[in-house]
Amino acid sequence: MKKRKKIFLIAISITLYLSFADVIVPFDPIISLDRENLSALPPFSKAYELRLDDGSKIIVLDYRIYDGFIYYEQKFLSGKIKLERLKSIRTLFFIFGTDNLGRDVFSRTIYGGKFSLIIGILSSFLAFLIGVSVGSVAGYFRGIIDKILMRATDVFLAFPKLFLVLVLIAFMGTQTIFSLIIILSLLNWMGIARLVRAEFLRLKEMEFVLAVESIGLPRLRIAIKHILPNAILPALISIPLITADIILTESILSFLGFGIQPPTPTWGNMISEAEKSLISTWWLPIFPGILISTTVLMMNWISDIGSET
Amino acid sequence: MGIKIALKKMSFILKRFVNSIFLSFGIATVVFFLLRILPSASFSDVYLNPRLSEEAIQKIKSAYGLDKPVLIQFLNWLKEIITGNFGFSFIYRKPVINCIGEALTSTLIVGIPALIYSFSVGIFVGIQSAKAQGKLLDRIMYSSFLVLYSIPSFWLGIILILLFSYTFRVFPPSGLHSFNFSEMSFVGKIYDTAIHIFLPAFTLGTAPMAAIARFTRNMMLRVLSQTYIKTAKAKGLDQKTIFYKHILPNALLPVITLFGLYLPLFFAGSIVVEEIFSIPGIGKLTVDSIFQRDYPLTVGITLFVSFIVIIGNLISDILYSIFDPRIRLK
Repeated sequence: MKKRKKIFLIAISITLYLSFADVIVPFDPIISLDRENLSALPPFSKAYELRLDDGSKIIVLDYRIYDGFIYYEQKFLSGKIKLERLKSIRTLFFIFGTDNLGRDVFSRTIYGGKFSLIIGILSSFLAFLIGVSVGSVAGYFRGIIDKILMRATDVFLAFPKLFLVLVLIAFMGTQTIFSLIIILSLLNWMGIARLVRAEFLRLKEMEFVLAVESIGLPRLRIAIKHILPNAILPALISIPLITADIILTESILSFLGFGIQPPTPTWGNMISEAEKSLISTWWLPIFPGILISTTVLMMNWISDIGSET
Repeated sequence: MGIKIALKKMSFILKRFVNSIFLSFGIATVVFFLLRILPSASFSDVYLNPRLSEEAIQKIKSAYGLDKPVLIQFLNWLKEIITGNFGFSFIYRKPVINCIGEALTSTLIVGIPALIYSFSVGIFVGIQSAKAQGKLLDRIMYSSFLVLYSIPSFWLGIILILLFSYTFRVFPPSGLHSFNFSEMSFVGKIYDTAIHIFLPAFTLGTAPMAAIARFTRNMMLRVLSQTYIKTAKAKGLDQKTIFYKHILPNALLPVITLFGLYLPLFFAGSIVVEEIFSIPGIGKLTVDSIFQRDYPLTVGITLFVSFIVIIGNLISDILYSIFDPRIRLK
């Protein structure tokens, strides 16, 4: 019971995160506030936004108020403004630092995770649906249909996934979130199909099926109402595992430059961009990577809990 | 009796072998028709100059056999593949099979140490974790398997470069050799290669290592709860005999089959690792061929790696049938 609560909590926090990711980001994840002054600030940096009475804003790295003037320092310039022109000062805090274009890494990480999670969850559910349909059809009809479907499953399993994904994406031309979801789900249903089929075959021999058969229920009704709900149980546990796998695959695709394209951030393409300037901006790859690992770990952990209960 | 079992095993292996041939055929079929269905895969979109005359287009098509019916094309293509002709790379101006052969060396130089590392360390750590079952050590080890398994290899690679190449300057960040490799002595060459492949092999092998360790631990625990272990203990056998004669062989049997299943994983992993460490292997060749739209090469590599997956599965089947006397030989 306690473990179910944990899974429930995780599910709720993921939903909350997905619905509010756009709102809770402190800065714009795609357009920089000030490309010149805010570029490549290390983690825990501060900057200030000075609003003047004519409505203009100046972004400064440091300021000091002295003798009726406000003296400020930017990356390349410094200057002073009369104090009475100043309307307000806003402190900008970059907890994860900023990237080379002056965008807040924290905002980008939060915002970018949305795509990884949506792709992971949606395509694993789609893969689940495909797998359950194939598996139950094979298990229900048996005979030649079973043979054909299982051979097809074998062929799909024999493809090295990552290679096939790359080939498909390369030859499909443009890729959107939608096409990514389709491709990733088409490559991950095989395990579930095998599981469901095996369960179907096992359950068909069970006594409760014999009992409903002897009552005289039609076969299709037995398959859908009595066998299917029991057969998908072990496959349900593998959903988080598949989600984890898909999130990893998606991040690899983004990293290689085949996934969602910048400027839209994803964890994968953030790390890919970070790799280009590893020496000067070491903090860029760290946070997206930690978040990918945590997400995947969470999914693996859920399936661990699930398989125990 | 012994001959009968041996014959049964032979026929089992033969059956798996025939099955693999059918699988390879299936894969070749899927790849061929995928290329016909998907947009931008055919010649006409990508490679033909729009100013070419109709006549010239026909000439090019007939040169590549594209003017014939699809079924004839398919059969021709299949014939070429069976004879080992995977086509001709557009970019490298070489037969695809030669490109793959050259890249394979680099991939194996990194892949084989990674394979050895992941299996030896994985099995060892898994056994230690199972031995300490229920203790704090086991818990720590088990959670670290989960964590290591969840870290994406490209990120691990980048962090390792950041730490060991840029901060501590212990290992070089890229390539397989130093620039003055040809002037080195034999020992120097070995040392040079070793320090170059250390980080990539570690990156490539860590996630499989964690998976193998986890699997080994679970198998060990399963065996430990069996009644025959209790019997052995009740008989008064000493711990060492029980461990080496009864627990270990039974627990490691399923681990051996992982060898065949994990072989393709190293090829898939090489895509990422070779990209990060700039190693001219199969993975980098794949990514480059896709970016440069060198589609005979892409298809050739996909087929090649698929065949490796099939061979890997066959190897694990054969290993299992040799080592496990209980296997159902149907």
